[in-house]
Amino acid sequence: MKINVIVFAAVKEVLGRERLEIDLHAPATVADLRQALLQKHPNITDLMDHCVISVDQEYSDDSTVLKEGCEVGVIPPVSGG
Amino acid sequence: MIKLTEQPIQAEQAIDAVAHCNAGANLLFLGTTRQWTGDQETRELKYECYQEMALKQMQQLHDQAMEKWPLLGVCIIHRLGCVPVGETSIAVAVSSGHRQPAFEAGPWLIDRLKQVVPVWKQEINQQGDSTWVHPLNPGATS
Repeated sequence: MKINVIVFAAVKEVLGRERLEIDLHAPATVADLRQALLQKHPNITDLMDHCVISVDQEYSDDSTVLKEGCEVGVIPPVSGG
Repeated sequence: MIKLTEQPIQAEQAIDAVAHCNAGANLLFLGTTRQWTGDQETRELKYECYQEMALKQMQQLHDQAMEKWPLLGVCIIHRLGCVPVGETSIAVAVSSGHRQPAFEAGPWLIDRLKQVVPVWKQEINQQGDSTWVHPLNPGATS
């Protein structure tokens, strides 16, 4: 299944784009997505250690199950305010 | 009121948004771009966000604050894009019947916002070099 991934800040800078598509075998979790993302883009490994993942604009953890067409955000440490 | 804007923030906007005839206390916090952090001189901060999620998180903070304290109004406005030295990047305003809830809710809101709302800033120095600000490496705002 296709998962839409949006990346931000330093991760976006390293990858040179904001949106990616990752193909995963269902059923898949956030942990599977992390693994697939790092296999495809090993250059973000260090940054990913500090990132949390959102699913459909809500914070998630590694066990969160992904659904076809969901929107995953790769969230580096936030620094608003 | 919850808002993300690329336009300069006027303090009155935030405080007017929480005005209420039963309010006896109106509290306003403005986060502004600081010029000097130690020996580092900042020219401006540049903000970006995950808009849909940032608005959702800001609304959740608004709702949680309204539940936790007897508030009459909550307003959070965050600026995006470039914010030069001295200008406001964030405004948080709360109103309540008496001062205690406002004094408690204000700091809670700005502290939580800095933890959960997906907004990121880059610090641009006088030479034009930019650095992503990390919570472990605080930038030129409070």
